[in-house]
Amino acid sequence: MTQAYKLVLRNRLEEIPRIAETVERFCLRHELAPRIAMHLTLALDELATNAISHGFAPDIAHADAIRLSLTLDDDAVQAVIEDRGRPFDPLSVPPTDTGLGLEARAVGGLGVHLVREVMDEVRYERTNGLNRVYLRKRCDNEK
Amino acid sequence: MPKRTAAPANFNIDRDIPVGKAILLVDNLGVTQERDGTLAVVCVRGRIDSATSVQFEAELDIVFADPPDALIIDLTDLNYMSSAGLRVLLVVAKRARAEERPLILCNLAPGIREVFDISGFSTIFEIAATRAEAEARVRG
Repeated sequence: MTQAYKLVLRNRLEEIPRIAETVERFCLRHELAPRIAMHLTLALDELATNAISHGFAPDIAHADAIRLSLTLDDDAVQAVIEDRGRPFDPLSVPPTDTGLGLEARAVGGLGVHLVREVMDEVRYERTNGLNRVYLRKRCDNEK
Repeated sequence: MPKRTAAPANFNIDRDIPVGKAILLVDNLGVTQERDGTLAVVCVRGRIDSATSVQFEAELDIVFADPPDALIIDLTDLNYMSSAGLRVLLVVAKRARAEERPLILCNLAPGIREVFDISGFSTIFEIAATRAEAEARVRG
């Protein structure tokens, strides 16, 4: 396993583009395809956005609300995102029905759906007052 | 650690810019709009995420303040969109449908198209390959 790339975010949405920056540096360093970078950025963005939007009282700023780390093992990127916000298991969100027509589609709620779709594995645990999500993205099968 | 090849065997230049050169996803959002008679064309560049979707929604509100007969949203230079952007597009599509204003999206980059496909948006939206095709359809 490689040395971890780490990032700490405040509970502010303007922090979100920093995820892309870190993921891209990680993927360039390890010569991973841009599509891998896009999927990792998307999954981490969605989870961080949920945590920032719903996990914290918006009037209280936390310098270390969210921590991310990225490592590479033989065939996959392992990403961990943990936040100090309210308990929330993203896997408890019911699946999205993507077959509905325009009028029937509800606005919002697609974030967790995207995470599930672009990652190969998503696991959640709540420990020591932290929400922690483990993500795995295979990079040996990029088509 | 195994050495990785620089690009997958079936590397696609239209989809993947060369590994080692890419800064794909970090750009800010830029939105411009032009009018051609009663047709409005909105061009979007950069990224739409939860940090910029409010700006994107505000720009589209400006378009609807002087409602066009039809709207084209050209995504040529959009290189990243999260569910925050999808949410805004869905709101706009519902509004356009309710007001009977044709809405066509065009020039979706492969990465954006993939997000649309995963979300089921490729069947909800009318999508043209090019701006010319989109214009032909709204005028047709």
